[in-house]
Amino acid sequence: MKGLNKIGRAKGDGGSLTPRGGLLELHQIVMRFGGVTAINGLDLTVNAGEIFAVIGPNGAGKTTVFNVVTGVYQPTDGGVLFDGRRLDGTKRYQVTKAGVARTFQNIRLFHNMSAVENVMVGADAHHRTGFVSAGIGLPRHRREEKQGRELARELLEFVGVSHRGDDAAKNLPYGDQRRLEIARALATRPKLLLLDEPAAGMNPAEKESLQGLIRKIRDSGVTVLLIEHDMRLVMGISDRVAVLDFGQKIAEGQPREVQNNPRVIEAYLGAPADAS
Amino acid sequence: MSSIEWAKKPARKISAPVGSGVDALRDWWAVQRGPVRWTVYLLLIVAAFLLPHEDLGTFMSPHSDWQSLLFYPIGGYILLAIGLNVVVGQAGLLDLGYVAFFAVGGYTMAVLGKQFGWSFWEIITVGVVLAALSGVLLGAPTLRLRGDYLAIVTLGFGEIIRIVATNTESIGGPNGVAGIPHPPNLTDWEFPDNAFFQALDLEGLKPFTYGALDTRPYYYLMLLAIIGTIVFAKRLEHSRVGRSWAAIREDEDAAELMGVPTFKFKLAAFAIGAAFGGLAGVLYGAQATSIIPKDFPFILSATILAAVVLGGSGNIPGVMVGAFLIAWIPERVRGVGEYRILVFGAALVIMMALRPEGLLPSRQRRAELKEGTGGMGSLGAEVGGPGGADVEVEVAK
Repeated sequence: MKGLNKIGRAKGDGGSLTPRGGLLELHQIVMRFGGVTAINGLDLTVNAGEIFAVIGPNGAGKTTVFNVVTGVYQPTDGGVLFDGRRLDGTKRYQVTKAGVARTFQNIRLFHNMSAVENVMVGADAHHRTGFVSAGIGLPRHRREEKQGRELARELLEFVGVSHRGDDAAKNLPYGDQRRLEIARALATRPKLLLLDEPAAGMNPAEKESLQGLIRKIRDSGVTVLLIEHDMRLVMGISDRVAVLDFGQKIAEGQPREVQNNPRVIEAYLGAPADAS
Repeated sequence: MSSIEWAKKPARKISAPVGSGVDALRDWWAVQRGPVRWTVYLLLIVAAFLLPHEDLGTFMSPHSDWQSLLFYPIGGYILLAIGLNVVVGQAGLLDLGYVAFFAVGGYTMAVLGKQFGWSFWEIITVGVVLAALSGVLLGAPTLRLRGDYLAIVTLGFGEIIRIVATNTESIGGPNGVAGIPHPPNLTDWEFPDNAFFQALDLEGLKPFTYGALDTRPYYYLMLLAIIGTIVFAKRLEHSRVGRSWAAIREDEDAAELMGVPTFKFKLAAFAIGAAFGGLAGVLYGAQATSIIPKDFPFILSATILAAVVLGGSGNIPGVMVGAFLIAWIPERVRGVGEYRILVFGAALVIMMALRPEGLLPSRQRRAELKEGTGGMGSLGAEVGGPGGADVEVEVAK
């Protein structure tokens, strides 16, 4: 059964799911860990070219959604469509190659490598140098190495940490580390970028410039799916917002609509006092 | 606790200047351009070429034959250490059964040379390929394991190869294979007998004639193999492959999510390391003329690992120095008879106390060991990257 699925998916067809025309589509995703249901029947459609935010109280299953999309978890039920292809059941590095890149809630850079090298690891996702051509120094290896280094410098410039390129990642200030993670993810040339709480731990000025960066990324043609707790940031840049609570979507729409939805207010603040 | 603190202080006094000296040398080297580098390389190669000098031998090993020591164990250990460094130092995979690949190379030379009459020059390719294949064979089912568990499985593999060799009659069983042919001579050319070459102790040396008496031609063969593997390993280090290994060492899950096919690259590390080990095995077999399963004990795996860790894993000059010391010290102190292993052990303890990160560690490796990452199992404390709650390892596939 599982083997059959894999063969079907390797061909890149849509499986039995009906495409809805979005870049990323979650179809009735269920994710259980033992007795705990982290996501329960989630449908989500992210359209190409938009900034889409997923919000919700702690433990609502937001990061689990990212982990299902990037192949860290295989969903218990349901399926993920990306660009018309079935994504669940694909290996994690192939998900990246297919065009989905992410950052992490807790920064997970390669701490002892330089900033440039960190980004080059991302750029290598599309390189084809094997150990033989690298070991004997074939021209392709030199060419890819040069391209990777140039792309890395460009992206560091793009996210605004080009002045720290040769420093070890762990020696960068916290905000720059978050930006470096974004550069590393962009180096894999994604169509969809998943940002897991990119503003966490940033001061208001840094958050302000982060907004600009996220818009710049969207304008360069990369769709952005974002998890964030900072409501000002979410409301400021998102085209659409979905709200999760206990693994279920309780609201979806434009930031203004969602903000005034009574179910959302209840999920965040609890039921109104006069109801009890 | 207090005695440890007490011991640390004088140790720091000695090791700190050594460390800063090494760092200064490294900084100087990092900014040098082609001509300077090539001059240094050339000088090192010339020095290595003149190393078998008898006068040097009387100081370096007064109790045994310096020239055969240079071939094995010194040259052999260095080649093995460079190979194991690819696996342990670069990919961060703890391999405790590395001797298995040395054995595969040795037995390939013995069986194909003795029983099938192949020439050394043909066997060397086959031996390297077979060793690499056995690396893949070991790696494919086991590389899903991490840290300590991988170490245990590789330990078992090393023992399996030795025990299978002991119990297989067609390759000599416990008696091994004797009468392995020497490599055919390339040319009988010899150095002229004049004052210049006499001073260099090269007069009458036939560098391409592989006989039973003179080990120097084998040493030069080993030297060539070492240079070749250094070039290969060094290029890998500064490529996509080396970068991927470094990323895997630091945070395997994050690496995979950034598009690194981690399994493929770990398997490649095993295969390359194994190929180097196989090369050492073929050379050893060709010179030794007879091999027995007992030539490939577990303790040899441990010794080579000690050389890598002692020298500074991840850094090729470091592991070469480590391998040299590990091979040379026991021979140098042969004069004290049975106590030589005691002296050897004491020397190891002192060196590790002074430079716990190794004699010449790579900078990145040193930083990793300090913070306890780097995927060396218990050697590098717990595996698994920083963070952890974000992405969990899949238990079942």
